[in-house]
Amino acid sequence: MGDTSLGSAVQSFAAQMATFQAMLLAASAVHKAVRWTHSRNLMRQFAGVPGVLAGTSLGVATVVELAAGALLIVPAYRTSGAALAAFIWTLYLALIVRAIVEGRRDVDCGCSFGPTSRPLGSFQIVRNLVLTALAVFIAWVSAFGGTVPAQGTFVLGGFALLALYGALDHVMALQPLRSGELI
Amino acid sequence: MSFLIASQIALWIGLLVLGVVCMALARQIGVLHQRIAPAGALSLRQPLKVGDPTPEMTLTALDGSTVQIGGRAGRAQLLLFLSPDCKICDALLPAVRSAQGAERQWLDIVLASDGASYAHAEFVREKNLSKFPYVVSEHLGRSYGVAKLPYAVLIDEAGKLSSTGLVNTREHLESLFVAKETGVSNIQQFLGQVKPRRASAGE
Repeated sequence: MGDTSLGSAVQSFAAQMATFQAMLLAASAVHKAVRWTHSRNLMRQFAGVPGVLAGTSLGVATVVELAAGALLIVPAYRTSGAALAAFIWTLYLALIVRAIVEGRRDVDCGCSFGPTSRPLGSFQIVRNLVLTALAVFIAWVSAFGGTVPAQGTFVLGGFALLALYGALDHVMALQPLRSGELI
Repeated sequence: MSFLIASQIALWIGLLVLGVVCMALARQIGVLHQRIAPAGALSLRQPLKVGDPTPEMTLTALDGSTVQIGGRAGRAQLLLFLSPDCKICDALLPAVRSAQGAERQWLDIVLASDGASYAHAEFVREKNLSKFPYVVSEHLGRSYGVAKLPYAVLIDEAGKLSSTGLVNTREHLESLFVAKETGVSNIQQFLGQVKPRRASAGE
């Protein structure tokens, strides 16, 4: 195994994370497309987009997510895809923080794969920060460290990470228990 | 090399299965939360209604200290009516201790009962309840219409009755706090207004 250097390991890790982010963005776009009417309402209620522009904005968001995912898969365009992904996560993070600051914690942000019993809070902020940091990391590695093409195991790993992301999303959607010792 | 690739594929598959299993379990928990009716304190007929000002009383606790019940105390107060003979009250005590710690920033807990003081003093010693003010007053129980034990009354910071009911479990006890936070006075009112929701994890 001649490719065990730290540099190639970082490149492989970045490629793996790029595959995961591409799948996540694709899943997010599909989720929007499948629940179009609901997502359009969220555009108005959560993002504050005027009603006449909600459908167009949702269409743009869906296409941009798909485009970012596609760019992340292709090694030659991975830097652009990662930068676009970082922009998307940051934009969603800003909308979440705005809702929290405005006291609209109970609003449906549409940022999970199902209804949630928990109000907006630190979980959504940390999650989006991690996703943004990952996208920035991918962009940085791709720009300065080179890229490696996605392999079969990366796709498999992407599905596994997506499943874990979904599991975490489902767990965090559960009704929280009050604090205190268990009895 | 081929062994490493094979083991990596196997690990990813294992992780994928683990993620799917976790997701399925979380979904099942979400479905169960929706299907099982919430546990709440059963509100019984009582002389005071939720929102009514509570009678202000000054009582002497078993340890000789003065305890003010009701009125504008500035902090919420939980009156827990119990008895040394009540086995359910015994089982509830760990939850009461836990609530005292978890809700200490806004809540004071007062234990209350009636009958012979010496039996209660023995009960306090045996169950290590000296951290709680413990009052013995038949008048207090009558004022809140306590007929069955363990019974809890939550008085808000303004001295008004916030929620009340028969509490047999930790969930019942916590439901009084949730009732205060949500403005739903009791389990009957909640079940009357609740709408069926989709499971937390299901579409």
